[in-house]
Formats: sequence, C-alpha cells, structure tokens
Amino acid sequence: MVNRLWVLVKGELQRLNKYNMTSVSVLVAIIWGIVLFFVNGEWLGYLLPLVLMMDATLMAIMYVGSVMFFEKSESTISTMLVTPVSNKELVLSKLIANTVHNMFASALIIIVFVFIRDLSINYFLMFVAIFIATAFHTLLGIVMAYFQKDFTSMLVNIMIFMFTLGVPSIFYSVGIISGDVWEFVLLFNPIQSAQILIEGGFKGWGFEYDYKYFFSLGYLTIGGILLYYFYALPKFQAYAVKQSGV
Amino acid sequence: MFKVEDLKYRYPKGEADVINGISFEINEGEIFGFLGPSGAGKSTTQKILIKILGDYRGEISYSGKNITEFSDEFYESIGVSFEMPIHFSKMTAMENINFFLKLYKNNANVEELMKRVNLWEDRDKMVGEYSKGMKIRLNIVRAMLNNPEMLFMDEPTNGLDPMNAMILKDMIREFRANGGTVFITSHIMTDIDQLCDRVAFIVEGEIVEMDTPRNLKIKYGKRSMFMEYKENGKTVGIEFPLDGIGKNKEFLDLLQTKEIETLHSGETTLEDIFIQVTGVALKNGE
Amino acid sequence: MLGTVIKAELNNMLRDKMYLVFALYPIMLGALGYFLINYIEERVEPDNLAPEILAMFLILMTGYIFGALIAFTLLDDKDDLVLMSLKITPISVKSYVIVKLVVAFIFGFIATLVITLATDFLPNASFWSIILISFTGALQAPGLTLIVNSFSRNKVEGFVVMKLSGLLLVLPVIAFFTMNWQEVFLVFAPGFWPARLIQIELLPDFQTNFNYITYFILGVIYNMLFLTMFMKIYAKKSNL
Repeated sequence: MVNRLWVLVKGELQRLNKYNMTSVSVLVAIIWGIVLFFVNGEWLGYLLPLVLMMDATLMAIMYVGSVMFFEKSESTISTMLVTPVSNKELVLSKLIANTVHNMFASALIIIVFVFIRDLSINYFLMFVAIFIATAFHTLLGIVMAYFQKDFTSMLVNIMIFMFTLGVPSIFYSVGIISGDVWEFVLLFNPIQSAQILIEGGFKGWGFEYDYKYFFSLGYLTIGGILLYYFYALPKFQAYAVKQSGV
Repeated sequence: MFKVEDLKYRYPKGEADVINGISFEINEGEIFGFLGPSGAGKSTTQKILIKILGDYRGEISYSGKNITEFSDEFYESIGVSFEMPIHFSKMTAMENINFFLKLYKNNANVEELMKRVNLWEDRDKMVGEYSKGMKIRLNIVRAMLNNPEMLFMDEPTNGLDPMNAMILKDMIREFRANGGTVFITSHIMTDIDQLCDRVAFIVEGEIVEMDTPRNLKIKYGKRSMFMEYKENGKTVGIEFPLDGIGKNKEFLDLLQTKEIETLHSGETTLEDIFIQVTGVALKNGE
Repeated sequence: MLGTVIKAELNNMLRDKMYLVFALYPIMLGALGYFLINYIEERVEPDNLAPEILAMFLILMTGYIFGALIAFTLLDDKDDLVLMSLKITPISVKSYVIVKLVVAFIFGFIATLVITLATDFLPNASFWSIILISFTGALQAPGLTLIVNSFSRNKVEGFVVMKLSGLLLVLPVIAFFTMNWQEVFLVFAPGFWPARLIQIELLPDFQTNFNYITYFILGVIYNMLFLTMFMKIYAKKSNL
C-alpha cells in the first residue's frame, strides 16, 4: 500500500514537472524577487500572506480540478481503476502531490520575500498552515470536480465560491463587517481559517494565538479528515465510475 | 472461471433495470464473445465483471470465489483493454508503461510485448504523437502488463489495420493457448467468428442466445443448398433442401449437366445471426 | 455563417452559468474594491500609494479574469474535439476563436466600465477617459486567452501558464514607480498601457514620458500587435 502510494505520488509529481509546473514556480519566485527588489513600499510585505493564501486555497482547488478533468479527457482514470490501486490511494496521491508542490512553490516565494524584505516567519507554523490549508482545499476541489461536467463550469463555481467565501473574509478582516454574529459565522469559512493559519505563520506581526487560531487549526484538520472520509472518498468512487463512461 | 447468476442491475437514478437477470459462465481457457447492439448492456455487464460498478443484484464468482470478497488481488490477475486511448499523452510510451508496471506485483516482459505489437522502435516517443492504431496497440500492451490470467477486451480490433488486427488475434489465441481466459465485446463479427469459442448475444439486458459460433450458424442457417449455374448465357439460381440431397434427382442432374458457377450450403454468418437475433428480440420487446 | 457561431455563443451564454459570473463579477468586485479602498485610504498616510495601486489592480484584473475564463472554455472545446469538428464545417476555426476573443473583450470592457464608474475608483476622470481605460484594459482579455492557449496543450498546462501570466498584472504595479527610460522594460505587459492611463488620472502631478492620448494610442497599437502576434502563434501551434 505504502509502496504503491509512493509510485502514484511520484507519478503525479513527474507529470507536473512535465507540464512545466516546477519551472513556472521557480520563474514566479524569481519575478517576485525582481519586483520586490525594484519596488519600494512597505505595503508589498502585506502581499505575501495574500499570495500564500491564494495559492493554498484558490490555486489548490483549480489545480486539482484541472488535473482531474485532464485525466478524464485522457481516459487515464479509467485504466487506473482496473489496477490493484484503491480509490483511497488515488485520492491520497492527488492530495499529497498537490500539497507537496504547493509547499514547494510557497517555500520559494517565502524565501524570496525573506531574503529581500527581511520578514520574520515562524517556519514551523507556516509549514503547518500551508500544509493543512492546501490539503483541505485540494479535497474540496476533488468534491467540486465531481459535480461539474467540465472544467469551465468548475471554474465558474470556483469563482462563485471565492466571492461568497473570500469577500466576507476580507471584509471582516478590514472591519467592514463586524460583530459577534459575523465572527461566529466566519469561523466556519475555510478561506478565513486558511487566512488565520497563514497569518499565524508570521509571528512578530503582533499576532496573538487566540481561540480563533486554534479553532481554525482544528476546523481545517478535523474538517479535512471528515471531508476525506465522508465526502471526497465516496464521491471519488462515484466520479471514477462516471468517468468510465457510465 | 467466471460464473454469473441472475445478474440484475439498475443505475442509481434509473427507472428500470438495464440488466434483467442474466446468467452465464466463462470457462477457464476459453474466449468468450459478448455481443449485442449499443445500449444492450454489454459494457455495463463488463464494468460489473471488472468491479467498476457495484450495487448489482445476483451472484458473480471468479475462480470459485464471490468477486465482492476480492480486494487488490483481483486486479493483479485481470487485464482490461479499453477501446479509447488511456495513456498520459505527455509521457513516452515507456514512461507510461513503467508507471503502470510499478502498480503490479507481476510484471510481464515488456520488451517482448512491445516488439510483438511493433511499438518497440517507437517506445521513446510521446504517446501524444502516436497514431490512433499505435495507441490501441499500446492499450493491449497495457492490458497484458501484469501477466493476467483473464483478459477483458473492449472492441479490441477497432481502429487497427488488417495486419495489426491479425497480430492481435494471434496474441489472443496464444494467450488462450497458455491457459488464459478472454472476455471480448465487439461489433466486428468476423473477429468474433474467428476467435471465440462461445458467444452470447445480449439484447435489452437479456441474453437471447448463447452457444458456439458453429452451433449458432447451424441453428440459424437454412438446411438448404443454393446453386447457381449457367443456362443460355444467363445465370440461374435454385435452392434445394439439404436433407436427402444425395438422392435429389434434380440436384444431381444439374450438377452433372450444367456449368456450375457457385454452390453454397445455407449456413449463415454471425453477422446475419446478429441482425436476426437482436432484431427479433427487439420486436418482441415492443 | 458567422451568424451561426455568434448565435451558438449567445445561446451558450444564456445557458451557461459562466455568464452569470460575468454579470455578477463587476458587482462583487466593485463592492469589494469600494469598501477596501476607502478603508485603506482612511488608514494610510496621504502620500501612500496603496489605495491607488489597489484601484488600478482591480481595474486591470477584470480584463485578466475574463480572459482566463474564455481561455479555459477554449481549452475545453479542444478536449471535446469541438475545434476538430469545426474544421470540417464551412466556418473556419479561426472565426470561431475570434468570436470567443471578441466576447472576452466585450464582456471585459463592460465589466471594467461598470466597476470603474460604480465604485468611483477614478474620481477625477471624465467619462470618456474611463471608456478609454476600460477599452485598453479589456484588450488584455483576448490577449490572455491567446497566451494561455498558445502555450498549453491541455488544461493542466493552461493552469500553469495562467498562473505564470498572472505576473503580467504585477508589471503595471512597477509602472507606478518607474517614470523614466526604465519603462521600456514594462511596455511588454499589455496591462502597462491602461495602468499608465489610470496613473495619469489618479496622480496628475506625476511626470510621465508621454501624455495621456499618446499612451492610449500606443497602447492600442501595441495590444493589437500583441494580439496579432499571439493569434499567429496560436494558429500555427494548433494548426488552424
């Protein structure tokens, strides 16, 4: 099982490399470096949490969606189903590969920011934040892919998702909406949770690890596990059957 | 090898069963053809047999054990060849093969297989650059990667030129000769005729006919002899009952006195049987 | 003939949820930008450029996002072999692609216009100036569609290219800080031109190398060249 999973993860990462994901990640980091070098402005530092959050949420969902729909059009998913590989291994391999590559891409950007802008970062907490947020949203992407007929309609749903969950979260963090009710409601917003966790990775920004931090941590971790067992896994089974032309 | 008893299946949102209680047995070392018009339930049945679709009713056993009791080892022992291309187009054929190979415990001799289907020379080409026929041949290699005991083939010769179709048919026969069992679904009746030990016709989720191709041809053929001969520069056709033909005076006379152009017994082709069997059944269903 | 393509596209629009997003997008983003910029403006020093940069970013992003969405519909069409089946119809695939690009442009234009007018991102700009800015901004949409489709043969690669081309949105930000000859490095980003126009409207005191109308004309010329070039690359790569 472990051996097969490793083969699958390696395969996913190798393909990603073939699709130029690695070189693009490096290029993105380099261009950030150039921008940071030439442009002065304290505000650029504030961009980093936003960039990391977008990568761990929006980009994670989009990436896994594009992979799943591409595998559908190549029918490779059909042949995976008749190997000894279980659906659990297939879902896990997508989850691990996506998380690993996003952590790699994020690490590059963080290094560039730290190198040029002297930010202080709690690497352990940052690692945890990006890991959990990416894994959770990858699972969400797998579930979303199940409900859509093609990638375009999935993109549309991602946009709707980002607007309905992302905008309130930004509004709340800048104080446009406030109050206990909102605070409570937004605790259940995964994008908000991702944001809180990532902000937690920037210690020294006056961040207090309050109950919201721990709630978000627990929410995404436990939520992710529940999502995996009770939603992504059964849905993937159904998705796979659907892809085999039923 | 496979035993299917009273198999019924209904799609989750379907209103009626698409498989209406079919039973059949695939014997070890035989090539079993599964024929029927589109939408008759061929691929649904195949998907149930290869454990892609669950939630069926009825009993299916493989090597004497219910298929629901198998886990990974089931796929270790079967190979499935799909009709559509199933490889990562941005990887070379060998990269694809090596990836799939690692998922199995048993590994076939890839070089031999690839050479057999004439792909060894092109093994380092991207699959995206392969022609349709090459992709199909690669599918067959993919299906046999794990040295399976049982092969499922969906329209295996569809899209292959006659030369490659022949190579493939030889491979299937050889596979049987080495003790393998094959389940084929196809529309191409000549292939089925040449390959299959037994065939089953499925129409609207029911098996309407199942036997060896030879027996079916005898059953559905007319017991007659059709003769064409030349008379006054024109071709004349005449039909005789096959029973007692050796004593049929008119037949023997013509045979001795006329210039015979063709002489056929009334046995039919699998294609005619297909049309007859599926057509009749469709009418009954109305 | 072309009428059929346009009709099919219009039909798609009514059915497709994507166009719902196209319609909702300006409202959502407009609301977001309106509050966000006011919020930041209240909190930063008067000479801090952050609100202006954010306003510009949001204006430019519209064309970009519309371009990305259309880019993926085109990649989907490719996978569904729609492009292949169009090849054997009297309609050329090129005109089909061009219709899609025009759709991306028109929707991008309307959305940019609505956002800019409704949120008052550019308080000092005249109506006509906003139209010109929206026009150059929306030219990015077909540009991005073509970039994504030229450099990717499938959805995953499309995603990768899109992620990379997202940096085209960053270059105009640098334009805020670069006034002298260095701007030659930035003109390659299609968004540079609308960015300059926005900047002239937002910060009239800044010395720029050319005046407003020159930037506009150069911007349109450059974007047209850009589109022609990528149309050629795309046509060549996909054998249109």
